Order: sequence, then structure tokens, then C-alpha cells
Amino acid sequence: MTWGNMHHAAQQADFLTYLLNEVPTPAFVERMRSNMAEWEQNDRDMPGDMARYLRNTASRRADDIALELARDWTRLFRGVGSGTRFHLPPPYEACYTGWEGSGASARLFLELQNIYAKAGLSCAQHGSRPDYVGVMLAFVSLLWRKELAGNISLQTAAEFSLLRERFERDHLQPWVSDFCRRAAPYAETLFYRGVLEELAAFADQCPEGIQEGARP
Amino acid sequence: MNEDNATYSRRTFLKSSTAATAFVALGGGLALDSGVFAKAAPVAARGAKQTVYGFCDGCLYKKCKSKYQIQDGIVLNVEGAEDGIYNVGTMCQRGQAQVVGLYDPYRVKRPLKRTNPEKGLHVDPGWVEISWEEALSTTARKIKEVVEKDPREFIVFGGFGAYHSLYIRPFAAALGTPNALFSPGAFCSAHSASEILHGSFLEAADPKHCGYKIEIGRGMLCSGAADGESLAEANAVSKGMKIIKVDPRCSTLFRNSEWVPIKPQTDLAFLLAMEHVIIWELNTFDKEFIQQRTNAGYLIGPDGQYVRNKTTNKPYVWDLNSKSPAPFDNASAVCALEGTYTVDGVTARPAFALIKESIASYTPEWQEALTTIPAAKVRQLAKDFVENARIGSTIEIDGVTFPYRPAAIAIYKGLTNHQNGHLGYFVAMTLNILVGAFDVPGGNLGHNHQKYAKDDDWHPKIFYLGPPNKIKFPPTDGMHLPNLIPLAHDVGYQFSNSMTDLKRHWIDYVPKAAISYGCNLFSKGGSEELVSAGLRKIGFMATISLVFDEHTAFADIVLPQAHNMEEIFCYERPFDRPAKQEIANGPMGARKALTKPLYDGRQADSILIDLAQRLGLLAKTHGIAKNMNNIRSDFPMNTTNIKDVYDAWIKGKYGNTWNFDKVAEVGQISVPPLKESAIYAYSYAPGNQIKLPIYNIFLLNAKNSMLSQLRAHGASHPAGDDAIENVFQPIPKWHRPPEFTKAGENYDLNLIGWRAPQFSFDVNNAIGNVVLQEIAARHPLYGKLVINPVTAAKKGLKSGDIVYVENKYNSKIGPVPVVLSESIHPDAVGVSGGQARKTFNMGPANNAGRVSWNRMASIDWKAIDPVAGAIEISPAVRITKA
Repeated sequence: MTWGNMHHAAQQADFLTYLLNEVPTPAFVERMRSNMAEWEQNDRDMPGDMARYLRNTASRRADDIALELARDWTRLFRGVGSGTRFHLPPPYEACYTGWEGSGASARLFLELQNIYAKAGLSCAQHGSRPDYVGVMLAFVSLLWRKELAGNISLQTAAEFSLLRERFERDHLQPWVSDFCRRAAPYAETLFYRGVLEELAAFADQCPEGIQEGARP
Repeated sequence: MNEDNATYSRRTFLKSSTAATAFVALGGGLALDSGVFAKAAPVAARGAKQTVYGFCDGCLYKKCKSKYQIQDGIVLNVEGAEDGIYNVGTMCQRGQAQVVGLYDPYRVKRPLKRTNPEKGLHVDPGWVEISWEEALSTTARKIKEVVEKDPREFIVFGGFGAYHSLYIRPFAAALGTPNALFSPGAFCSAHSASEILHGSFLEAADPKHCGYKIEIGRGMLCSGAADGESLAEANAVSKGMKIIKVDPRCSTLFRNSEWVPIKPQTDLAFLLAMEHVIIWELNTFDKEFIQQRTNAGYLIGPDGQYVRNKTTNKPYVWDLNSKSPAPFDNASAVCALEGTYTVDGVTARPAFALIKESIASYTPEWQEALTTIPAAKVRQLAKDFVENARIGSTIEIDGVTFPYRPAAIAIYKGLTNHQNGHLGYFVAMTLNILVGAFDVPGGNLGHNHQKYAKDDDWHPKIFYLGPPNKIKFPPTDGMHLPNLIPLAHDVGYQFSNSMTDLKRHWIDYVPKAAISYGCNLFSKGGSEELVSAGLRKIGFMATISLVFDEHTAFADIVLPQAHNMEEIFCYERPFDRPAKQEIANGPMGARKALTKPLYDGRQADSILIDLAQRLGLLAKTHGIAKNMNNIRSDFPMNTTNIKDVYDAWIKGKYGNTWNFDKVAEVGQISVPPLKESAIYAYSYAPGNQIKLPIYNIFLLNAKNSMLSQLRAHGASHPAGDDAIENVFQPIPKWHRPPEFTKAGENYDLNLIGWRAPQFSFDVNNAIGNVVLQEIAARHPLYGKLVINPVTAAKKGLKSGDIVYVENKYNSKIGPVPVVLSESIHPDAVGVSGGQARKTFNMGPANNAGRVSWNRMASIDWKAIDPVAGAIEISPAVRITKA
């Protein structure tokens, strides 16, 4: 993978982290609109459904849009009413990989915490558990940044890369696209339909190893 | 390397690399900046496992000392602590499954606000996550708006889930509302007769000395708490105590036990026949006890009242020695139990004579037609009961000589939750008294709070339920209508009746705001549509919620409650039944937070303190703490930290050498144990200075007061004045409840329900616990409609058939599979109740059981017991094939 593509992947993880961990607010909406306008000025597209949603709602007030998006975000990612109404467990690894059914999610949390701790991080967000997809994406994003930091050795970078790839392989890829597929019918906005699509795409990609020499 | 030639397996997230550049400005470094992660020193290996002590919150009692295994802040396991005062190393499945509840993915994570104004069990509220600040400020503002206009228009809903809260009731009191509506009493009316006769909230057979117990509508070992009482009972069984279970359902049986099947709602008939046999046929009872320690000798006039000395106002007895009237407290008098006497020109009879006369026709043969229990069986049980009571024997404990009566009748909700439930309860306690097995070793005992405070007539003072005979008009201060149900215990369910018909219930205001914590009028009540309609009418409701339960489906703001393991917690035993393990005096438990909140929940009392502060209630002169000081003088007045309150509480009880942290180190402490003799209230009434009112003067006075007030205003009791006349009797008589069934009628069976032991009390969402559900589902009867094979044959049903069950009030459950079992009476059908919830907002485990017994229960005034507010627990139903 080239340096540029590694940057892309890091940015992807960063952006998804933002989308999965932020309750939409008017500021969020304005930020999205502003970014889309910037891209359009440069004759480029925002990812499909997300852009369509923002275009379709361009004439509406940001606080109205924020409420609509917040409702969708809460429904899709926070496990409200998702047990029997939507038949959609919240996007927690334990819910999609059998840990929850066995009542053993504590052991998964311990494993995840241990992985985070080895990277010098502790999960600090109120409201999210360590196996929430947004937390995991945040972890991947941070590993990318550590990996791409200019002030570390190649060996250290490779170690971060290996940790990230293993984490993605073991804790994201087995279930995230399944969640996205099951969640898509319940997304009431095109925006989050687009987010789910991009999240699934991100998770579907299996790293095939780092090519030595790709790093500048 | 050229980028075009790169080995690039990851699918491009963005359509072009320049677009990605644009995101850098948006998202660069967000993962750390947004606070999802914090930097920490790298840790190479897992930390060591730690053992932390505390106490279990798996049921209402919270008495079992627990041992938690924790690693790196994650709770891995919980088990009983060997030195637990009550549980002695044991821990039931509910306690052990708490870890699963802690990590439940379907908990409420953060504060929420509703965006869909339409409210209902099956309506998407359109939740949106909001900040704690927005949630609390919105809630405080709404409460303030309402309370400033009329405090009565604000409701505080509470329930079993809030029983450990120190602030929930004072919060209501500080706001000045009479509407602190607690829900548990609907199916927990098992207190009224104990209050009148024991002066105690609860009663039970003495597990140490009782050798023969008749248990009616009660199954402590199969569905109760795994605490001192159950353990003590298990020990008693292993030592040979015989248990006779009189019940429509055969629950757990032990060696030396026997099941006597009884038709639902007929326990009163069985008990009256037992009384008949003992008094009329065997003529063997503890005459000395009856004469000396009851009001059996009090003379009753034609108006049903005590005949009193006009100067001293003391009730008279007829002294057999002097052959003249004597004041009841004349220690040398030997009172007559039979006969007719004239005192001060009034013809009077001893209460006992009236009781004896009233049961003359209640023969075993008479009861057989109602209960289906053979007459010979009743005679045998009555004889065994009397013989096992060993009337005349004594025992010395701690130097005190007690009557020794190792036989008892113990009851519970299966007996009390009928329109004639209080009457049956009262007769059951009277039978204990008849053989002297009351508050003495071996007999039926009141719980540990009881020390026989007495009124002017030397009757035990009612401990908790309040005076039953002070009725006023309009007959209500609150939506729970306390003046219309004089011996009610927390019948918050009446809110649904009153809110949906304010005028009928003399409510002259409209509640506009509420806060709900630990309350569920759906699972602790009936008539789902009325409950929904009532809650829908409240303008604004905030709930303190662990999960998305039924009340939460009607909330405007949801305040997430921390799981008990995530919060600091302190308790003093709420109520105990007597048991050897419970001789420990005044134990308290304390527990530090075992783990950081997994989500963003807060301790409920801390939420209430925050709200109180925003409402200005923490002020010294008129605040929530002031109201609490009315209860406990050692609480700090103005703190915002719940730990300060816990500290003061512990110091007030154990002295300044103890505080919260010290108690939490060991989990549970107690002052030196009581002497064994202290648990038998007999010793608190030396010289027979207590007179147990087996002639229920309280109920008579309550009826007179209530009906005279209502009639003076041209009004009737909502339950119907006839029902009041029938059940407010000083001497219980047979009363056929309105849900009584007969073969050939349209509704010909009674639907009984019971909780699987996994879900007793349903504290901390036990019903939504996947592991408990898995265990429960292993039982062959779980989640099915249980029918006796004889009944099934008559109806052409077989195991596996799918049916519907309907009640008289147009409610229906099903489709539900039938399972045949001889463990249920032929006139009953049964379902393991409580395993299904009614809102689709909850986690999937909540509906695993499919059948909701509560849907069949009605809160219609015609179907409840107006004495104690009990909802009929075995409604009349019919079955139709799907």
C-alpha cells in the first residue's frame, strides 16, 4: 500500500469515527454542507447517498435536519428499541459474534481493553462500550495515525500496522458488514444509508499486508 | 513507487484522493480529539484479578453478601461470600446473572428525548440522545412549572425498583405533592392481617422450631429470595419440618411434604372450615392464650362495637370469677368466651361467641363443594395442625419461658390477591392464634421490627400501613385513593382508574408532570389499556430507566440509570421475615462502584439530588434533606453527594468509627446479634399486655367511617357499597369473589400465574437477562399454558395445541401452546407469569416467554379487594383453540 493510500485509509477511519460517535447537531449539519460545497466547487462527489441527502435537504433549516439525523443515528447505533422492534442488535461486536448470547461479553471487553492498553490508550467515552463499532473505528484511526507519524522507526510503524491489521481482522471484519446489511432497511435518511454503505465497504476490505518500501 | 502501481487492496472509501484531502480538515485527529480514547501508559499485560466485597442487588431484599471477581475494571464473576450474615456463602441464579445484566447491550446508554409526540407501548418514540444538562434542565423546568401552580399535579412514580432509594419519597414530599404513587401493592397485599394482628408488615412460620406448616398461596423456596429465609426454611425441611401446600398449583415439594389441590379463590372457605373443625368438632384450642392475649373476651354490643365503661372508655370483658363486667386490662379477671350478658343496660356477647356462631355452618362438607378438598382431608389437617401445635407445652430460651407451638399456617399472595383475600388472610392468622402459635417459638411470627407497640385497647399498633379508620370526604388526597382502600400497601395502580375518570374519583386537578423510577404499572397491575391511557394523559414524564421498559415508552425525557454495580450503594435491610439467619441485628451493607459506568448512567439518588438542587429543594429550611430528616435525624441537610448521606447514615447507626468506605471494605456489618428470645414478640408483652384483635374492630370502623362519609354526600364507593358490606367484616364470612368460576359458565376456568424463580421481583431487569431466560426456558412448563389432563380431555385439547385465553374484560393472550400437567387443579389453567413484557422497545430476551399473564388482570373496581387493594390474581377466563 502506498503512503497516499495509507493516508486515505486513515482518513476514512477518521471520518467514520466522527460519524459514528457524534450525535448530529446543527453544527454537524453545517459542517457537512460546507464540505460538500467545497467538493462540488472542485467538481468532485461526496459519497452517494450522503451527498444526495444533503442536496435534497439544502433548503431546510439545519436544526430540523439535525433532529432528523439525530433520530436516525440514535435508532441505528444506540440500540434503542432494537431488540424486538427492529430485530437489530446495536453495533457491538458481542452482539454479532455470539459473545452476548453466551453472556460472556465481559471477557470480550477484557480482551479489547487489553488491546487498547497495549497501544497506550484507554476507552474514555461515556455512553459507549469497548466493542462499539465507533470506538473500534476510533482505535483503528489512532493506530493509523501512529503508524503514519513521521517520528517513529519503520519497525515501530510495522508493529502498529500489525496490531491494526490483526484488530481489523479479528474484531471488525467478522461482523461489521453484517450489521450494516441488517441496519440498512431501518435507516430513515439517505444520509445514514450512505454511512452504512461506506462502513460496510470499509469493513469488507481485508488487509493483505504491508509492502515494505511503500512508506516514503 | 508510483501510486497507480501500488498494491492496493483496500477499497477506496472516497471517490478520489482529493476528496479525501477535504476530509482531513473535517476529521483529522478526531478519534483522539473527540474523546473516544484517552492516552494512557502502555500496559503490556492484564492486571491481576481482584476480589471485592459487596452485596447482591438481584432481588428486593439486597441482603446477600457478595464476592466479586474483577480484572482491569471488568466484573467477571459474582458469588456468595462465606461470611454473609444471611446467605452464608450461597448465591442464587439471579445474583450470579447480575454480570450479564451489567453488560446488557439493550440498556439505556445516554439521556434521551422524545421527538414523536404520540405515546404508546408500540409507538416509536423517536428517541434522540441529548446531554445530561439538557435532560436535567428540561426536567427541572417542567416540574417547576407544574408544582408552582399546584403541587398535586406532579406525580412521583416508584416501585420495587426504587425501594433502596433514600430520596424518592422525600423528593415527592419536598415538592408538596400527595402523589407519591408506588406500584408494588397490586400483587403484594400480603400485609393487612399481619399489620392488624402482629403489628408487623410481614409474617412467616418460625423456621427454627416449626415442625408442621400449612402453606397457602405461598412458595418461598421455589420462587422467593435466596436469602436467610429460604435458607432457614431449607434447613427446617432437612430437619424434618412437614409442609402442607394448599394451592391450585403444585410447586416445589420436598420429602415429608404434601400438596392439597384447591380451586382458586376458595382458600377462605377451606380456612373457615378448619376453624369450624377446631372449635366445633375438636373443641381443642389454646383457651388460655385466647382468653389472655386476644380480644376474644371483649364484650360486643348490638352495634358490633366494644361495650365500654362510660368513664374510662375501656372495653369490658365478663369476668367468670366475679360474674360481673371487668375492664379488659384487669389481670385477675378470667374472661368469658361464651354466653350473653347485660352490661349497663346493653346486651352483649363475648367476641369469641360471635365468631363461633358465625362459623357454625362452615362444615368440611360445605367447603368441599367450593374448594374440591374432601371433607375428610380438612378434618385430618385440622387435627394434625392442633396436635402438632402441642398446646400446653413450653420452652425456655435465654431464661424466658415461652409457650412452645411448633405448628403454623403461613400464607402469601396466592391467598391474599382475591376480593376475599383479606378475609382469608385474617382467618389464617386467627387459626394460628387459636392454637397459641403466634409470636411464640414454633408458630407464626411477625418480622423483626415488631415489638408490640399497643393502642389504648391494647391491640398491636399498625406498623406501616397507617390507621385504617380515618376516612374523610372527598375521600382522596392522591391518585392512589388511599382513603377508599384503607389497608392498602402502595396501590399506585389506582392511578390508572383515577386518571382516566377524575370526576368519579373526586380528583379536582389534572396531573401534568411526573417522574418515574423503579415503577411499572404494567407489570405491577392490569388493564393495560387503562394504564396506557392514564400515562398518555400526563403532559410530561421523565423516567429514570435502566432499560426501555413500559414506563419508558411513555417518557418525554429518559435519564439513564447506572447499573447497581456501577454505583456506590448502601442499604439497611428493608424488611425481614424471622429466620435464624436474621437474628443479626440491624445489618447494613455498603459497596463501592465495582466498575466505571459502561454507558453514561448515573445513580438514581444522585439524579434526584441534582434535580432537587435545580429546584431549590436542598435549602436548609424547606428541602429534600429536611424531609429526610423527618425520617432519620442523622442525615446531612444540604449535601449534593450521596456518599455524604451514606456516611452520616452509617455513623448514626454504628458510631463515628464507621463510615461508608470502611463498611464497603467488608461489604456488610451488623451490631452484635440479638438474643434468640428477642425475635419472639411474646416476650415484649409481659403480663399479657397485648390483646390480638381476632374480632376485627378496625375493619368494622373503617367500613362505618367510609360508608357514612360517602352516604352523607350522596356518593357510593366505586367498588360498590355491597362489596364493602361483604368484605369489611369484623368476623370473616364466606364471600364469593366476582371472578369465581363454575363449570358450564362462559368463563369457566381461573388463570393463575407464577413467577419462575429466575424472575422474582424482576429487579435490575432480570426478565431481560439472557442467561436467566435460558435457564427458565429449560423448564418444560415455561412459556406454555398449563392445563390439567382431565380438563384438557373435556375440552378436546392435547399438549402442543395452540390456544387463546380471554378474560371478561376483552383482554386476550395467545397464541400459546398447551402443555398438560397434573400439577395444576382442574379448575385452573396456569402460566409462568411475568416473563413477557408489553413494549417492543426492550431487548429481545424480554419477549422470549411470549405470554404475559398481566394482560389478563383487571384493575376494575369490581375485581379488587377494597380492603387491601389486591388485584384478583386468578381472573376468570375461557380458552379457545387458535
